[in-house]
Amino acid sequence: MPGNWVARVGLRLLHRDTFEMMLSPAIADLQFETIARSAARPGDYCAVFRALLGALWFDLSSDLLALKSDAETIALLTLLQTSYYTFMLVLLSGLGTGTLAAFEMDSELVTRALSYVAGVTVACLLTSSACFWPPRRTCQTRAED
Amino acid sequence: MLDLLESSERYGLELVDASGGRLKRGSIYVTLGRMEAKGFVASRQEDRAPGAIGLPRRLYRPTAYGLKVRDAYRLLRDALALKPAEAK
Repeated sequence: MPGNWVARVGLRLLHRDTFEMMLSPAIADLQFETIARSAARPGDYCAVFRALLGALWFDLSSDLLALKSDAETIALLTLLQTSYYTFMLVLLSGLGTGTLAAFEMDSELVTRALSYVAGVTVACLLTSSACFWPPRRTCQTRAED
Repeated sequence: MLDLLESSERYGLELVDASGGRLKRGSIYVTLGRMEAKGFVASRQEDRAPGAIGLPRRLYRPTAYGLKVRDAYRLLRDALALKPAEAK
């Protein structure tokens, strides 16, 4: 049946409600028209892909809004992780072994240090957000073949 | 969209056809999904004959709340519309 593979992709990527409300009707209409005309047109698939993209955007924006309620916890976790890994980086760089005086604190060094810290912060923010990300379906529901 | 749904339950494709090109097939399902999430429309899966193949299609109808919001929007639009005398 046309559109079944899109349904399988959608089932993996979307929340169940979003799949039922946005993608499933698009695929159902595609299948209905295909049966009626005995062939699917490229434009019909285009509508299904647009529905999939719209549903993905809807889910992403809903997830980001849901993360707002955990913003304080995520910020605290990010701060803890960033502090830990930045401290490790400082130790590894030799700055913590009493050789700080040997470094010439020019703007290039400061910029590089800040970029390292920014990279660590972003990585920690991503992992902390992943811990609080709303759950997705983990098992694949069998789509009709 | 609520105007088109007011008379009877319709499928997404029927809405596209009835709109005379104002609604696009690529965006109708997402828009209907968002409207359903906001409570403007309600939907149900079609009754299927035994042995039917493919996913069940979805039928949409407006909710009382949706029609109220539409009427309120109309009132607001009319109230804000510039009258010829005010447009000067």
